Amino acid sequence: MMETQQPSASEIVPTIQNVISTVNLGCKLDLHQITVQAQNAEYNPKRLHSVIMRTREPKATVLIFASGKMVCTGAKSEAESELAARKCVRTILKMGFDAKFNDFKIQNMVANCDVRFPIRLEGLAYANPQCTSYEPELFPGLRYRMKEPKITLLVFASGKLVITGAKRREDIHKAFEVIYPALGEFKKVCYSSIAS
Amino acid sequence: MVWCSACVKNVEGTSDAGRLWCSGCGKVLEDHIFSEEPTFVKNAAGQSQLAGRYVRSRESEISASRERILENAEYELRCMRNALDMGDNEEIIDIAKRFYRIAIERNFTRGRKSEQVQAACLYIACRYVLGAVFLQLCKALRLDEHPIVQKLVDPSWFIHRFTESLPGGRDKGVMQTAHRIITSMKRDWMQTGRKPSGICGAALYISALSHGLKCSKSDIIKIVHVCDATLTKRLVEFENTESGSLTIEEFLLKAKELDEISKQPIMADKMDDTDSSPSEQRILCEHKDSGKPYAHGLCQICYDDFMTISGGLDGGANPPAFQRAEIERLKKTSAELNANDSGIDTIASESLDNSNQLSQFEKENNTKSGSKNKGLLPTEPVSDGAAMENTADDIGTEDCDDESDNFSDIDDLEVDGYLLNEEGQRYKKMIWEEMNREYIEEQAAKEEAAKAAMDINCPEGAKKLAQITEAAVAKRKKERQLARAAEAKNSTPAQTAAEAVHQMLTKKRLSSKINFDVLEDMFETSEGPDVSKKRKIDSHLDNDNKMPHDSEELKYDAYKDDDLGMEQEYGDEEGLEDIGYNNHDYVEEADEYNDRDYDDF
Repeated sequence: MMETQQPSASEIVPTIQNVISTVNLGCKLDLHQITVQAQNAEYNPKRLHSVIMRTREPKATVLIFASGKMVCTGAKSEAESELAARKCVRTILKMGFDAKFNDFKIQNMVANCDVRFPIRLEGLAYANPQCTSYEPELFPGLRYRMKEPKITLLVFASGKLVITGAKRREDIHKAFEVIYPALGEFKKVCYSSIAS
Repeated sequence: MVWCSACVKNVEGTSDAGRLWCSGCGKVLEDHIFSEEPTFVKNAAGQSQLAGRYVRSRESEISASRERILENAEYELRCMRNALDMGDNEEIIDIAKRFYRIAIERNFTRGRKSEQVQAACLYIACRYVLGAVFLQLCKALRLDEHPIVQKLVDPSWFIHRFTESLPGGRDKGVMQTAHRIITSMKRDWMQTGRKPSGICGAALYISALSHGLKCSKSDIIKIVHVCDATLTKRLVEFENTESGSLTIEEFLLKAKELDEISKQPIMADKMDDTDSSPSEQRILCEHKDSGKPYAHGLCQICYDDFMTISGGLDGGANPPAFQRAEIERLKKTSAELNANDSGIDTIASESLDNSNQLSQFEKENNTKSGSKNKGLLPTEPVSDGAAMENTADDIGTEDCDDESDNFSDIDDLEVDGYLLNEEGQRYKKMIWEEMNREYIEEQAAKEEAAKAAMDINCPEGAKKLAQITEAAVAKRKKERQLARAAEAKNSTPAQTAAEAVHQMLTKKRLSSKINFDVLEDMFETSEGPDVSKKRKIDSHLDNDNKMPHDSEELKYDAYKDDDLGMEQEYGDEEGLEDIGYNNHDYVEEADEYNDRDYDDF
């Protein structure tokens, strides 16, 4: 069977899947008005006390609260997240509210990647008892809590990783670089013959 | 000598039964009757109350309520222990009680069912793995670093217990074979990341069958507590491994061989195999302070544990998830190669070439351009999307410094598209008010109550009014919920699939976009003209009128319920007729404005 090449750490780069950010509009908003005036807004007060506005390009979802705070999720990069937030703020501005774009901050970034070799999660769990939580009865992935940078990684036996909790892109790359050798330690090796 | 006011002199007092009386005149001077039982007195409102107060006992620092909690917990723990047939094990209770006490002190019982916390304490005391509660409790009790928690669960431990419950009873042969099967599964990387019970179940099933025991999958499922799908999946995975294709004798032979090999001492060059430099031979496991590094950063004990639990790093097959990922990767690469070869459309092939190059080179580019990584291309880029993104990202980078309200960069055309015109706003307002009518009513009631409460003229009356309205609102809510529950209970099970769907739609009111009129017609035609006629004539009959019918009329009964349910639905929409739109138009308008949002994504 053709095996895919196993690249070194510098070749694999985690891909960002989701960026969550918040921004403060600096004024109170009337959610009824926003829903009525906007085509892409939905508001279901029984379920959630915020307007859900969706942008088409970049594809993102924005939650708008009556206090004037806004949460933007679903964007694939920091720039996209900011752009989506700006579009929503601009829409609200055009409705007549005195909206500003204050304190835009990226709160969380989620990325995933594939190291392309199977990993013995039990070994990782034994070798890093302080930062690892591995309960196969609950969840098939191993949870690795890195302290520096403060990031959580989910490691799966298939070699796929989910990296989350980062506020900056560099943190994600750094975390991956730190964990790559640890993963390699428990990589599956193939010996050609078992008998000595 | 006590003073007696009657004799006006000091007299010797005689005390008897708690009373002190003057020996001269017999007047009662002191009256100290102590009662050891709790006495009751009548308070100002005329109710009996316990005399005295609760005082913290000086012996322990536990308040009375806490003592009560602990006593209750002890009782519950005992009940649990008895239910689990653990006999008269007092030690377990003691340990569990201590854990529970710490849990209370750390405020762990708040927001959780006390039975659950008690069960978790008992569980820890019995040294077994429970679940999320257990984990959190361990954290709270600072047991993170404790060896019990660290030990990963080995499926082999369960074999002993499960074989006993098999129909054939405890069979040593079955147990041994099951053990061997599990070891083989571990070597083939089938068990990493999986629930141990699933692995156990599959091993047990195979072993029991191969020893001639008659046990079915459902037997195994009952013993092991996994579902049918999981068991089947594990069996299929095992089948796909090398060992899966051997007969049982071959398998046992191979297992014996491997046993022999594993007993040999691990060679020293295992340490040299690892890529780490000599300085990195640190010890990372829990025995940091005590042990010596043996392999992979573990001391010998941990390494042995690791090998037994997981089966080591070398192995036969790849884990199934990895296999799936490999297949997908191969598919992708072969698809790209094919696409490159075909070259039907030069533009198409160019864009595909670009996408290929992009996917291969993006990684290199990204590592090269370190801080400029603001615009990472997605792994499956479409050329249009990529172009759009690039421009969007450029705009984004320009804006990053400018945090003020300069929105000149935003595409006004798009933003204007998001805003509705006059007509659209009117419709949207009506739709929204219609959909959220209950909420609006509640809000109106609340506001009235609040206003009335603020009214200075009659504060008491207003408060009462507020309370009444709140109660009315809550009552209405409850009534509606009960009505819905009753409806759900009373409705007979649907006779056909179509009816089942119909019932579900009416019950759940999934979407306002569905035109129930058309749905009605749909069912009408499928049921036939007779039934529809019957329905129209007899629609006033109530639900309870259920006599034994033959199948056709049974369908009709079920239909009746649906019909009434439908009428309720229409009731909401009929209100709109006053405004001057009939049902069809209203629903169409809704579709117009809503579909555009959600279908374009």
